[in-house]
Amino acid sequence: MQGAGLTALQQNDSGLDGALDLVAGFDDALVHGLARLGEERASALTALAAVMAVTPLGERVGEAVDKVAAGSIADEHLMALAGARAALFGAVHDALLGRFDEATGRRRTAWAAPAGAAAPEHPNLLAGSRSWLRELALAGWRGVDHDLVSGAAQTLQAVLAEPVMRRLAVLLDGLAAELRAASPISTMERLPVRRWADLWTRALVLSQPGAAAGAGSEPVSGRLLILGVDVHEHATVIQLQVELAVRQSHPQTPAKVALLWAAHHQLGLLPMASLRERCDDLLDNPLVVPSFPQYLSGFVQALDPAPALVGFVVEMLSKAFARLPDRVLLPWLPTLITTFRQQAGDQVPVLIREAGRTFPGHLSAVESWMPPWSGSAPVPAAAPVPSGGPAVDLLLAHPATCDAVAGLLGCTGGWREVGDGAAAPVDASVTALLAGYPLTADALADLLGAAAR
Amino acid sequence: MAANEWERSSAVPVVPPVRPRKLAKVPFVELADGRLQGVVSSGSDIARVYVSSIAAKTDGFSCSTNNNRPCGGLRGRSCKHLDSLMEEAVLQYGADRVARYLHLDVEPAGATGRQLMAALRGSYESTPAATVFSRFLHHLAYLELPGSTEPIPELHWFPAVAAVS
Repeated sequence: MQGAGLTALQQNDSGLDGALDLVAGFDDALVHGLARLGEERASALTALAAVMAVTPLGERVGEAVDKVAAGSIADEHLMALAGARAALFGAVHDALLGRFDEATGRRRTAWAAPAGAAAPEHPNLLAGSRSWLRELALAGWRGVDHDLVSGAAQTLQAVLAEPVMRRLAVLLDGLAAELRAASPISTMERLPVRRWADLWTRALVLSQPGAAAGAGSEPVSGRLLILGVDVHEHATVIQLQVELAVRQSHPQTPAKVALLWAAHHQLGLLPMASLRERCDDLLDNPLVVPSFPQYLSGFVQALDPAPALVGFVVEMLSKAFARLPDRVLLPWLPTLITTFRQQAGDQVPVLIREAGRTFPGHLSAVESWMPPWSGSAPVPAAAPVPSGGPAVDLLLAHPATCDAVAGLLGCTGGWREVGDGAAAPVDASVTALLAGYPLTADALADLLGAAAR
Repeated sequence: MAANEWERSSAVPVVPPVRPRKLAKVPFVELADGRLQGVVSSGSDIARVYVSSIAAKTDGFSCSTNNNRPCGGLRGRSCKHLDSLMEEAVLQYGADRVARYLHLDVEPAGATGRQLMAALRGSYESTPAATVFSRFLHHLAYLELPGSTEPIPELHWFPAVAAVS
């Protein structure tokens, strides 16, 4: 099953390719400078604007491309272009991540906008940073000289002195150091085109008021397992990032948690399907599996007040024997027997009777036996990855059903009508990608809106 | 890695890591502002440092104390401070990076500081020592910046490229 999923990971997707081509077009414009766009690079920007037209950023990007063509480029126009580039990459990222999760059967919590307190702003420093980034964009990487690189020095020193602006400071410092080290850039054989455009884009987004809100953190406690350390560094900074796993994000006794769940079920607050799903999740999680027997002990203790759970306990025991690794299962067996003795003395005959009803009575029946609980769990439908082509055109032409379903599901990404007079052919697959993964575009639209206020 | 793939990658290393060197004689060397520039300790007076620089393209050189008194060893030719500066630059950056930055016309593979000095064609060219010296002070100021446990996701663009042995 996983093999098939992994094959799906390698499939080509015209939406992804189209989005990356648009990014490459923009990056090429940055190489030569927005102040002197050739016809070819100008049309690359027009294509970018045409695709972005479906997103909430559309209007701003369209205006920015017009201004760039006319040669009157302000900070806000560059920000709209950086926003478009970031939104495309955001959609590409989300699509790839979605595919990966689908292939590996992984679920993750949806991204939420950072809830951290807004950091105090320093409008002058942000403006100084934007102004340097604008000069870079106008000159293009090929046109960057010593004076332009040194032009960042004053702003950089002031930004470095502000602890709340550390992210921007570290990024600007890293970019300036690379431009300095690459000098003379005009005669460089090849340029790190994608990389410098990435750094430029991120720096511009971070120079936007309201962009660098604190990420917010959530305290966890429990047993920490350190898996490794990532080292990040450039000439003037080093960051050690420890990768770790928390065995129990909330320090609770598994047996008591199981008792609580049983009580919730008894009170009708937790349907059997959800209870089963939670327990299956425990078995799926390699970090929790060793404590699964303790959860089972909790359920056994709950049998007295909640005898209706007897079928569920048999099911869980069966799954535990089927799925727990020997190194967990075997040491636990004596504990299980004593738990039965002490906590569920009266319930043991009931359990045995239930087990007798559940499991096949004869060896010959084992072959065709299906546990009564299997197949009852609804298989979550995997989110399809939008792909380009005729199907997308069809959806775009007949959006009513799609909109109705989107409304039902609470998808508020929002479509925009692509104007008939679009100056460049719109790659429908990229449009679909952006519409399918709108989180980044929405966040950037909020940021642009906040800046305009 | 093919050229196209390199150009289309985000986390490619652009700046080769500098090599470790002893800092006693030449505490500061950098390739910046179109110059090889640095701060060189005086051999005789512990309280005095020299600010030395060599400009790219013109090869114009300059050496003076940090309050702008010209170096006595500088008589139309390079002085021992400039020699030390070049030696240490080759140690720190490698000869090819120094030669490329200064536009020197030498075969950089394995070139020594002395060979690079011999390739210079410029003459004395005044550089305000204060500018270079303030770069040095600015560099020292990084040590004063407090550390932080706030994550900096932007540093994922800068993975460590070489382990320090």
